[in-house]
Amino acid sequence: MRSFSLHTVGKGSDDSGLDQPGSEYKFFGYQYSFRISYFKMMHFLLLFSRQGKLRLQKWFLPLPERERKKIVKDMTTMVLARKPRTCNFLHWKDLKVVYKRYASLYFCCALEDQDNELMALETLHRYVELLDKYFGNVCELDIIFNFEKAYFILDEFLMGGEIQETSKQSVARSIEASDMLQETMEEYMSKPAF
Amino acid sequence: MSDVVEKTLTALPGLFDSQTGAARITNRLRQLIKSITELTSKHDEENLIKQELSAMKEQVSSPNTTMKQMREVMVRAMYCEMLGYDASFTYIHAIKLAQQGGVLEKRVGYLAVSLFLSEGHELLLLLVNTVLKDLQSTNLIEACMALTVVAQVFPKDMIPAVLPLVEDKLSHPKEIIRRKAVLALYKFHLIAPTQVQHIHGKFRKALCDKDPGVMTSSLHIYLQLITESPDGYKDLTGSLVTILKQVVGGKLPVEFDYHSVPAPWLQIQLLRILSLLGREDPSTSELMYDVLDESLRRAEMNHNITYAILYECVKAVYTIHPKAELLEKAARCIGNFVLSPKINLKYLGLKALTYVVQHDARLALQHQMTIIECLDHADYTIKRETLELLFRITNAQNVTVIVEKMLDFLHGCNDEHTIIHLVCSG
Repeated sequence: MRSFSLHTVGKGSDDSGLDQPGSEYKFFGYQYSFRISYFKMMHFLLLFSRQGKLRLQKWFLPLPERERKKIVKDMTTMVLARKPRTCNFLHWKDLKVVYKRYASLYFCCALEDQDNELMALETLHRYVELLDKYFGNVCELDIIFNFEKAYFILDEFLMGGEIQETSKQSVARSIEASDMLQETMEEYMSKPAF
Repeated sequence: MSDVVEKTLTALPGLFDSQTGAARITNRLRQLIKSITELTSKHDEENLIKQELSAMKEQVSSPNTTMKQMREVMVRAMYCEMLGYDASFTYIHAIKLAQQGGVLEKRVGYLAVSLFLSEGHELLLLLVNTVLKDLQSTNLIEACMALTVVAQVFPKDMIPAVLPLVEDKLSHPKEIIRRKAVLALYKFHLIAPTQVQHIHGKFRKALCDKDPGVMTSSLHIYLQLITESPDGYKDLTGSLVTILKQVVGGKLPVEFDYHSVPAPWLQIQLLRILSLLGREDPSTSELMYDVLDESLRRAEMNHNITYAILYECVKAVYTIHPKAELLEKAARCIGNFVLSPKINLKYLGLKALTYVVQHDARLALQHQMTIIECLDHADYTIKRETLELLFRITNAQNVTVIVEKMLDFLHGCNDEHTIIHLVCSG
């Protein structure tokens, strides 16, 4: 078993809590030195186009670069191969993959086996609603050219793979606050100095 | 490249007739994206990105690069990494950007850090000072950004350095800060539980917070704690039942509604916690029967999220100490799912049956015909789920048929993980 984490798992460390069941988690053979919540743990969230081009990637678990590349490749292949009128869920290794297509973009996330797939589907939908509210009639181009904004919104909405039940307003407000600051500052800075 | 993209890209320069600061900064990213989409081969793309990366390398090493320019470089670096190219020379500069830049630069710097670095990365230690400074900043936006990054990626060994500051934020007047502080502490609990053991009392305060967002965040911690050891938290049952009653009864502000359903993710979270508390405990289960009944009744609308809540309800009903009327209602609910023409619901119904069948095999027999039909369903996922269910209802009469079907399935199956999983559980 390859050990990814730089912290060693074992007795004598200050985390005696690690000896509890479920404390060592093996995911694809990589050992993690922290506990993973059994429920509601989204492992990753990907957005990709119909041509398989990645538009956004959010990883809620640390994984080495080559593993990530492989996962992205697997996800795009699998999801793009799905026929219409099939359900939005897939089995993949020991996880469940939930995906939905919005216009030219596929939103895709991976969950623990025991998780609630329909809830994850709605989580994806909620994210799309937030993007739509922010960009106004969001399309793939908005996300391509403003991907960092898409990340800001995602971070306000999902933390560590878990949804923060905040009202739509509060997510929008916190992004707007930073945005307004941005606009004001840029306006200020581009004004002539006399 | 599609026509739409072509048209849009050619129209772009016209939108920026006045060279404002924003346009100047984002133009280089747009140029890069435009150039990439014009290329036809992977080889060309590699060359272009290599050029871009070496230009960026020069920029980051130059002492004349302003923070504003560095921010722009960072965005391009994130883009290149997303395409799969290595831009690790920018990692240290991401931290510097978060450290030295203004609010705007910090925002991008912290984002880059959360995307580039992960648990155990050696550069994470350098983040600690920046975070410490921002946590103490009077600018709330900076404090928010620091808390956000801490909740995503933070070196385990340095938790004691920031813990007092984060703890402090739990009593901040602004709810967004309190909420983010709770999530940061949740992260700490996951990576180093003994470090936060002494503040479990403060979590209770967060649970009773007047802001629903803060309360919901505290539930993440409680779900984890209760999963590990439900016994210590049975006393919470009453309060959690009350909260769920209030949510289901529509007492939350309307902004927490999602398609007319009040705070669905919160409901689901509460249902999960309650099912853990009520498991194998008749007296605790007794406290929940009413609210479960109410939830089953309320979730009557035709929306995916309602079905998601119903699924959790049904699971809860079957996990806790049984009550006949509830089981009946839950069984009816599962029946509706399995018989539904909507394929996502069918899937959920099968999944619920798989869970339920351990407690009550009769339910599966009731829907035998539908299950057999699902075996030959066009959708591979449904087929697979049906097989999982069948393993659990195997008895002396149907074992031959089931094993035959399984062998058929396995012959057509390419994924070795599926094969191992099915054979082991079969």
